[in-house]
Amino acid sequence: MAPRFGVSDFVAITNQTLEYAFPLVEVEGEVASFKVNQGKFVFFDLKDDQASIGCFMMLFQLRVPIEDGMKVVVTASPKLTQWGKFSLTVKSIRPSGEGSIKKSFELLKAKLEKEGLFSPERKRLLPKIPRHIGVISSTQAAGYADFIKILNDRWGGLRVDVASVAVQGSEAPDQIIRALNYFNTQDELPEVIVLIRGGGSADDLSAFNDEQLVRAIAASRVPVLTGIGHETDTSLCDLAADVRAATPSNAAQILVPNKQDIIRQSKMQVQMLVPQILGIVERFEQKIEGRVEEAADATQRRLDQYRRYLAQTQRLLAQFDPQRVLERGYALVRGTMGPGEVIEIELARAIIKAKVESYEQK
Amino acid sequence: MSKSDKPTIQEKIEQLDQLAAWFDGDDFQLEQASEKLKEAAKLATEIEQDLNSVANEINEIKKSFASDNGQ
Repeated sequence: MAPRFGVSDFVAITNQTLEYAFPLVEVEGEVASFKVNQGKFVFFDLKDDQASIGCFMMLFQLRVPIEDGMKVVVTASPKLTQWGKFSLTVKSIRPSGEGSIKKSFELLKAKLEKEGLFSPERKRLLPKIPRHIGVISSTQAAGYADFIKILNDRWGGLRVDVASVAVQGSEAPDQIIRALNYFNTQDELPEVIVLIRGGGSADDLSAFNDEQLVRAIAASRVPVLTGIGHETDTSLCDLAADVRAATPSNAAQILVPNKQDIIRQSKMQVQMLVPQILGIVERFEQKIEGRVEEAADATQRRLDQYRRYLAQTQRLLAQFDPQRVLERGYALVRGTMGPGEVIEIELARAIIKAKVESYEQK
Repeated sequence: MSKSDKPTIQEKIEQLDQLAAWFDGDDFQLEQASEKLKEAAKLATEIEQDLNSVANEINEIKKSFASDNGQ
């Protein structure tokens, strides 16, 4: 005999059965009749070419832009409403397929760009050589292993705090946000937070295009460095980060210098000092030689000056020599001047004795 | 200077940079050059030793980030 139920009981037992059989399902389909009511309730239909299911979710659960025609995967609980309508109560939704992922990416990128979240003015410099870093990644992931290996090869003495989180799937954005909040609320803040995830499909990396996660990165007190996917992958988290590395390995390269380079550079610095000192000594010597030459020149100049003075004085003295006067025809007269007196007259070439005949005052 | 007053690698690199800059600066004195050169050589050796001997300390945080109240 078939079981009999009241209507409410039947709806309740159907929901119990659904909950037991499908507590959470993922359903892929195309979005139609998308609308937001009262600024908080989201309604849309999920359809394929043969069927359609009504979907309901809260606006805060909507982490990526959705439009009619986009292919999505919803994580939801199936439910029969009290009006007998079957629907999916959606916990999370993400674009599916290259076209939809790209479309959703572009819509959110445009929105956040308009708000200035990717603005170059917001970017902060990373410390030259950090001492304390926070890493957010899955410790099981190859990308994390690459990052740690390169980090250890390049530098030592770092304190590396690692928050292991899911880096793909619907849980990933919230876990990463919690890890960001954790690092940002520590008494001893790390100097930089590094978000690491190795390569993957567009779907795998879609967690890094989550609106709330992108906002959390932009709001981080601690500068954020991202190393997500491969060189060709650019997520919205990359755009919001202070610095974007092309890969996890590249993130380690950006974060710390290569110790071999530093050792080489330190040795080179010291080696360069020796010729530098020799150069300085040589310049000192040249300077001293220059001074000595200057002193010798000055002495010579002074000697020349004295010689010229001496010659000039000699010429002057020569002019007063009595012999020179005699040579010019004058005579020196000696003796008592008076009539009858004998006087001596000296010429240039002769001395004459003469008697004075007369003597008169002029 | 670090908390333990023992200079870190980065501080030693900065000290070496300052020493090298001293040789180009106005404070240079020939009488002190030999001492400063010895100091620079000692720093370069210490930097090499530190870099080759110090390992990174990697701590995985025990807290679970799977849910808001995860411990």
